Amino acid sequence: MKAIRNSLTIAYRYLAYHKVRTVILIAALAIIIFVPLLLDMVVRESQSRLNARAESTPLILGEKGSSLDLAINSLYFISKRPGDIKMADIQAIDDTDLGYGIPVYTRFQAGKHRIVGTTPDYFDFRQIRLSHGRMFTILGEAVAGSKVADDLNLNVGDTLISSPENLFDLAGQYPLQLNIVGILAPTGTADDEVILTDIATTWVMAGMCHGHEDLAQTKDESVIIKREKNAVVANAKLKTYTVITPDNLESFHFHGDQTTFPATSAVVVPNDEKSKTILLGRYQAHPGKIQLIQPKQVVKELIQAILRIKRTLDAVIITVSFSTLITIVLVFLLSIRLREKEIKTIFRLGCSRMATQGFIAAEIILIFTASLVLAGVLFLLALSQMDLLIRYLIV
Amino acid sequence: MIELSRINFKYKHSDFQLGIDSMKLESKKTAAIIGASGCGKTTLMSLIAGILLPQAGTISINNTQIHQLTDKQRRLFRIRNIGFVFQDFALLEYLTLFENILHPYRINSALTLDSPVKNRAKDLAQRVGISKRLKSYPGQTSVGEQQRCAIARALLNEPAVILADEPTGNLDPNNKKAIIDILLQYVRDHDATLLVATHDYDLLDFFDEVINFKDLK
Repeated sequence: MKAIRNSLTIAYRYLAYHKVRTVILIAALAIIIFVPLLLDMVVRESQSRLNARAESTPLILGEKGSSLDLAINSLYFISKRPGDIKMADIQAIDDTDLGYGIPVYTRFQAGKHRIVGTTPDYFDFRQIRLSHGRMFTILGEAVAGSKVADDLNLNVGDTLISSPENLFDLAGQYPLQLNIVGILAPTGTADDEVILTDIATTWVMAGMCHGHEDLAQTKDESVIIKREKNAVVANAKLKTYTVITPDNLESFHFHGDQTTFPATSAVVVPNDEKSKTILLGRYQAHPGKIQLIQPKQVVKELIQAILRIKRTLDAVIITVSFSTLITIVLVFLLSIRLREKEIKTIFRLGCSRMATQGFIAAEIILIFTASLVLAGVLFLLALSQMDLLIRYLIV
Repeated sequence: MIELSRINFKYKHSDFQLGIDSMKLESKKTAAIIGASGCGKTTLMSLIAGILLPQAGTISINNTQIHQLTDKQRRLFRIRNIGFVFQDFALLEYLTLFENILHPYRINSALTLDSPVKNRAKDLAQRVGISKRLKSYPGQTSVGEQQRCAIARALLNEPAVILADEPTGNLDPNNKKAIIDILLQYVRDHDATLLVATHDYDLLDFFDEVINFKDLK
């Protein structure tokens, strides 16, 4: 025991003295241990998360184009946003009596957080519960996902401003203030990372619905271009409200036919398996610009692609790890040759040859242990940032 | 007593050969072996210390026939009875001077590193004049300080025999005198035997005996 302790002490002193060499060796070994573990964990975790979300979403209605973009945007509210569909397209699903559609409009953001316009059906469908506060009931109200609330330190009663889509677009829409009336309980899904509001509120952001002072009663004539029998035409000087309050709520109104209003996609909930099959069949031959996809199928293809890439990466990692290990062994062997004088000195001081080998072994043990600890710390760090990693590496 | 008889030694991969007919140094005596550089003084010291084993002849130290011992027995005998001051100091660069002094205790299971040993090491460091440099690494100290550290290490186990191979090489006159004084003081305090290999003729007056290497053959 004493001999082991002394060997470890001497080995530690040697490694501590040659800091740069030691740090490089430990880092190289830690990476060899950590990277394959990380890759495996990320793939497993993302596979499980992708599957869980996809399996809980029977069908998605969206514009024809990349089914992957449509699925990822509708399930996780990230990736390239597909072209809009019309509310009439979603109404068409309802009209079949084979199921119903829940609109999802993901055009806007507040800072880095996506604003998702939808209907209360979405909450029932996803079984989302509030941790405190209440559901949105009027225009301008929103509920924040648990991670958004954490990130922004949001509480009920706080406000958020939607981000302008293009800072330099003078004709663009004004930001709208959202009143946070509820915070969602954590779900472990993408819903934690978004702000959910009524789709009509997102239409306000899109300029299809707005509120302003009553032109019939305005005292400022400079905003009036002309007065007609049933209408008053105003110029751009007319100020539209960017904050919806109980006082101005009444003044908000829609322009145009609401069935032509946009949604990014719709989660389609068929009545049963048969209805699902019929719906899929109908939309397979749909003449318009609409597609109906099964996210489970799309995600399965995505996972297969990820696994193919992982297999390639595995091969690369094995090769790189092997060559790194060989290099490390070479470093040790060369270092033993370079330390011949030191080993001879230790022997002259009365140390047995076996004990001398014990010092080298103790150094190897210390380096491997430190590498394992470092790899473990990195692994724990990666675990704590798993959401970020999956987002960055997978979707 | 150190006694060598009919020694024949040859390195495995060298033409160098050492032959000694007879050599004797009584216990509690001090002696200097003189000879030109490369004549074999270091080899002779290593043979006496049991680091090297002769192909022929006998080596006796305080009545122990060390040439008859096994490697392990010879090593243990050296640890317990011989203090060796190496020509190249044999200090480890990654240990502080204090750790270097204690090093034999860390690498030999036959020795126990405890508080009294540590106190003795500090005391020795004080005596050889490096007590303020104990936390420095050899690379941060002067040649004289390194030499003093090597001496402190050799004396730590209070050996009965001190072998010092060119202990004053590369030192200035003041340091030379100081080093020899330290060794002689130890011999007086511990009734030890001292054998110093040197080619410095100025030091010879300090020793009881002077052995000319040429006369050993």
